[in-house]
Amino acid sequence: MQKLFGIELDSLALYLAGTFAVLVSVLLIQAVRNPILVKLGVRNIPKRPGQSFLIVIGLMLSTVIIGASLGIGDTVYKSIRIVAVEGAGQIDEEISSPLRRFDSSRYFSEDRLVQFSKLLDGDSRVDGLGAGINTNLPVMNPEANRSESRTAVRGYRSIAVNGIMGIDTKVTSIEGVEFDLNDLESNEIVLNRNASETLEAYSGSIINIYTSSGVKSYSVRLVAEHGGIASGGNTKLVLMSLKQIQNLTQKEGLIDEIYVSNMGGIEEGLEYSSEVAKLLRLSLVDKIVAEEIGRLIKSEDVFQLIDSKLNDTEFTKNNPFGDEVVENLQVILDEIRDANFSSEKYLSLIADENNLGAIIGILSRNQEFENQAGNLGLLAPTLNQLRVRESKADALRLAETVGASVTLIFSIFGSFSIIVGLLLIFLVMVLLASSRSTEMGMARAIGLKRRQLVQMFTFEGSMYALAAAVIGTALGAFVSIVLVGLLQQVVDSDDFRLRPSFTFRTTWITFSTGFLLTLITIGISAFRVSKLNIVVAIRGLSEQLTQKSKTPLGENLRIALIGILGPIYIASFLRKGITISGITAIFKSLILWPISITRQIFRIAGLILVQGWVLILLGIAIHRLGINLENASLFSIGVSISVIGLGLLLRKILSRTNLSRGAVNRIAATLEGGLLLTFFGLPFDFFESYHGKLDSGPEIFVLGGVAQIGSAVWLIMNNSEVLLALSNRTLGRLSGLQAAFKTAIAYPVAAPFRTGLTVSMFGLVIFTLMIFAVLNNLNNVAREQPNRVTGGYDIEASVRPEFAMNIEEFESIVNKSSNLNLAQFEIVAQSVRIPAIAREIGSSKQNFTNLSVRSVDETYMRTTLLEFVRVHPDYRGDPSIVWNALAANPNLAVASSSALPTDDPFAPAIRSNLELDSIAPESEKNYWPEEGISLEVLSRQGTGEPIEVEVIGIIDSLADQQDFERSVYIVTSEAVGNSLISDLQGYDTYSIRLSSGILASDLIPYLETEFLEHGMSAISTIDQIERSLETGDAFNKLFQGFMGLGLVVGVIAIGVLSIRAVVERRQAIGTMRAIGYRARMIWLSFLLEALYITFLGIAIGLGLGALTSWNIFNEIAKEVDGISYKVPWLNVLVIVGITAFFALLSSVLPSRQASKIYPAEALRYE
Amino acid sequence: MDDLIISAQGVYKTYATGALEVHALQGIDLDVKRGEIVAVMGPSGCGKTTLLNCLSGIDSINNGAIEIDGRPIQELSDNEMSDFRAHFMGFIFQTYNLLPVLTAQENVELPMLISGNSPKEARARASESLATVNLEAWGGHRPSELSGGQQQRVAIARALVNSPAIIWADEPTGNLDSQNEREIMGLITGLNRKNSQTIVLVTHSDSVGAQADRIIYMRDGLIDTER
Repeated sequence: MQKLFGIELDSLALYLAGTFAVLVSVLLIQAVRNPILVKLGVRNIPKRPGQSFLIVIGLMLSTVIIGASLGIGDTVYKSIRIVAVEGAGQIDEEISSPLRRFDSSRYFSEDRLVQFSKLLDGDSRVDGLGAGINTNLPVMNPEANRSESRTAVRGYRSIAVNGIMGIDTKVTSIEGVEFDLNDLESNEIVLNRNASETLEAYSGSIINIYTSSGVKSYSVRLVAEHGGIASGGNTKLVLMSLKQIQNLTQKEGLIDEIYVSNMGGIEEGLEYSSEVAKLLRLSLVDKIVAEEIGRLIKSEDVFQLIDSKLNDTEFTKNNPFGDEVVENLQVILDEIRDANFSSEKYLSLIADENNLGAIIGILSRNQEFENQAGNLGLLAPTLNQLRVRESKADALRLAETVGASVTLIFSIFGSFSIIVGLLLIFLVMVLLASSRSTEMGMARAIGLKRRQLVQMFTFEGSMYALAAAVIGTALGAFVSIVLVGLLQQVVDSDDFRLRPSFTFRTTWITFSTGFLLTLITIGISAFRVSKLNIVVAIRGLSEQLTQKSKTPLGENLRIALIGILGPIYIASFLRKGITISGITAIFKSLILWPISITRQIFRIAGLILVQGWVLILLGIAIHRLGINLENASLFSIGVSISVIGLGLLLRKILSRTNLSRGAVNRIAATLEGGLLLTFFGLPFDFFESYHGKLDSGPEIFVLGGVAQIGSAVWLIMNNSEVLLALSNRTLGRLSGLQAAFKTAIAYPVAAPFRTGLTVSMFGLVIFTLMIFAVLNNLNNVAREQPNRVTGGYDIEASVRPEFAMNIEEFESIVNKSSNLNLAQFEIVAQSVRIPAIAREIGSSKQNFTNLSVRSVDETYMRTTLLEFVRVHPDYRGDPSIVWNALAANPNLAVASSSALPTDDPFAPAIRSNLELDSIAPESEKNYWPEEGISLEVLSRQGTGEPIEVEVIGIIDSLADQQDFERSVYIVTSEAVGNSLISDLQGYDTYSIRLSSGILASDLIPYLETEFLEHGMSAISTIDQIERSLETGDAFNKLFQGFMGLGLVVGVIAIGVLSIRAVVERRQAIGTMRAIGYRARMIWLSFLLEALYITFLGIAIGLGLGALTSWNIFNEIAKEVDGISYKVPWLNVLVIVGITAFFALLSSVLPSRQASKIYPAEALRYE
Repeated sequence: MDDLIISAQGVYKTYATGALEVHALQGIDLDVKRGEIVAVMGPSGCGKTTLLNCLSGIDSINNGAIEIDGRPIQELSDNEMSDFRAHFMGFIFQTYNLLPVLTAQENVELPMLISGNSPKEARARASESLATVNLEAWGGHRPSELSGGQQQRVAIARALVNSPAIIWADEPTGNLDSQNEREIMGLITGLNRKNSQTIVLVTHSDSVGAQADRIIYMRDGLIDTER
């Protein structure tokens, strides 16, 4: 994995190393200069090993979560990479037809292989060439009566380049003997181990292979071990020579792929991939079309647009094309500027479909350039005779993308737990300082400076941070392995094995991030505690007693000015006489001048910002910037800053009244918390009429969540008196609990900082868990209303296009079968999917983008139960009105909901599929454009005349819920399919509704057997829904488990608070026992306190989680009909129960310890 | 002997701190009559507070017998002793020992709530008790918002709220100036006269001791003299 959040991981590791080196050097220099402070700070660690251990545990949790996120990314990347590299073997580039994989016209002449051989002869970067045919065919072992309807059948030929034997056509038998496919007799084949096991066929077995022209028998020469061309995973493979497969498929002299192997081993060859691919593309590109493309692009406006896009930081951060494409675009633009349309550089780069696709993508997103984009889109398919793919490099890029995406998802959701972990560090250090307050007060009393106190505390903290980072990194690796184990169960495929990985770079990033974050938090808390009042610290008095009077603004500015003038100010004293100490002071201040200036700038900025009005203006500016840049995060941040500014300004104004300081703070904090909570809790489209459509990424989820929880806690903790009164009047009346409850609530309410931190921890975690729980529940609609997904068909069966058959043929085979009869089938509807490109007529986007056309027969239209999310006003009412209209008019179509634009922050930034521009994401459910929606559809090659179809409905999005790629399609008549593909061989997909009492699971094996010669593959639609839901559930549980790590942090926080409370309240416990509290009441009081804090956090998390999931639900409900908002109470109860149980558990021991203190002993502790 | 409320016979108390043993009480015999004010005086470390703690049942004894109102407290379980303290005793400490997170009113309510009274009743009695010590206007304030003298008066109100038979006071004026000392002692003796409550107080102050009916001087864990 190379990137995270758009940052190169190598660079990140280097930055971290630099920061780490600087910080550690500063620490070491300070340590050498102040050995006494080191001794004073560090001596506490071995003195209280139990406490030190607990601190390290508390500090390491953020590191664990960071490590787990990165480790999972590493694992996914490595696993895909291994599959990619092993799967590709020696093959680095593949040359094939631009047509789809199993299109019957994809074959091209075998002579091309010889041409490429001549082209590459003498090129030291290439060491072999090969060609082959790769198809899927039904295969049967008649002896064992075992069959496989879609077995991969591949035939290879290799050709030497530069005197080196070409692509390796050798396999290794399971006995370990090497064998070359070219040595096979014409009636022999090789099976890979998977195929052998499935077909129960071994060396010497006879197997039948079915093609459209008949059946042919072969003898199994040997069974090959997986690896190389024998593939692996779950692939069932029949191998033969090219000649044999040409003969079998009647494609004499034809091939469908050419393979190129670069010099060196499997991984070394990657180095030349780009150069070799360029060379190949150059030989295949149509130079006239390339020049035409160049001329279309050649305009200053286009150059400016592309340049500005490539230099846009937002774009480069989330670069959807990859760095290489961006570099290539720069070169292409340079060449076009100079009109070098026939230069090798230009031709080889423009021939790469990724580069041209990126140019079209950029142009199509800009209204001004829609025409150019449309014309380029039409030229693109004619540019190359054959398509060159850097297959191995592409697979590795995919590994990179998937690995980074997985890490990103885990990091985003994990960031809640990381924030919670940082809060815990802060809490731990504040409590630690609190336990040392007397000691630190004494140290200050005998002359220790504040700076030295910070250093002392930081020295101690850095030891904890180091230990926590080391243990946290190790545990992070362990947790990632555990989660990968769970992920493997979710993926549940032999095809893809996850191989745990935790690279050195990840180890370093985890360790250094953990260490630095912890150290920074420790530094902040050290600074906070150093501001102690000596008397207060020594005598344990209330801080309220010693609140400092505020320095007037003028005085503050005077101090800032002196700091900025630095040596100049000191030099002014030399007027009274030049002394050595004066010169030394000037020298010192000269060295420290930059620091002093920076510090004073911050002081002035702080002084100005605290006035409030500046923050209000700053917030307004940022929120306007957000609107201009269409960035939702910036908009939200801007509004938040303004709200905080408003609160500060209100404090300033109210402080001039007779209100007490506490009352002023409470009023201002209530305003801040209330406004922020309202702002972030409002429906997502609430301000849309004001700011229009804003873009948002996944970060908005974290920002919104943290802001909501933070503002809720701020609001509650600043109104703790109200909370206290409410609690006392309700729970405090519980008989027998009054006395225990009174203290249980009073203590946390009296310590709003600690309580607020802990409540925030629970709140943040429960917030995310609640959203997950509610959103998971929405998926159940597919289980409850399966017809909306299946269309009311029980089985979806498909055959290879070349085996397509009409309904009469289908019925004839059923009639002949001894296992099937027509009475079992209520309805058999037919369809075929055709890849095409399309654009919306009248839309601002006039380029053609991918669209799958699903041509269906009339039976399908008359019988399907699929529903619609939007319908043309003329066809509203029952869904059958729309389907009947389609049956009656061949130029009508319905589109999948994936064709609608979305404002889902998790959706990809750039789409390559058709998007219906005329229906905005925020438009009303009943909205349908007055002018209607019409499409121009072309075959994927872009040839022929466009066909116009009118879309009259958008299919219920539930119908596509199992389609994770969100492919865009239309459903239309057979006529449209025939117009798109001249040699359309008929329907290849059969949607079957079974008669009452017939089970899909019983029928499917017979169907696949009887239709074996057609290579039929059938699935039960209900089973598919279940499998899909189960996979989704498993993923969600995995995420819940991962986020649940945050709960560990919260639980530890409760434990830490309880332990500290027992120490701090020893005398109070003695008093309570003296006046009659039973030991059990003390115990109960502590437990109630822990529960109170936990439940406060849970309540905030649940409430705001429910609110946010309600907002998300409303967004989803705009697209999916029939879903209802339900809180999964059982799931919520489990979450709440587990949280409360562990929070109680963590406070049981300290509480028991408190209850066992003998009153007199506790009272002596003063 | 019916008017005896406290009776201690041969009370021994030893603290072990590591290898060191401190014999805090070395055979104390003491009787206190109902309604009597007894002052325990003596040099620091002589065992005054330990005696008070042992008599009030907040500390255990190693040997001997203590009867309060005829009940041998060493035979009571921890729960029974807690209940006994809640109903029968009130405590005043040198450092006031109010719960800092509760208001004065709430501090005074606590013993009532422990004794199982309803919050309403506890509130009413606490208000009365605060009025007795002239702090009815300060009920809503936290201890940190009160002066030392006021805090001690809240502690007295707390000690009185359950109308206990015995009030234990450990250096009740130790942290106060002479003006406050006089006021607090005036309150304590006034209450004794009004309610005939038994008061055992530990003090260093001769002026406080002088207001007691009886003074016990202690030395090295033993009663030295009585006056």
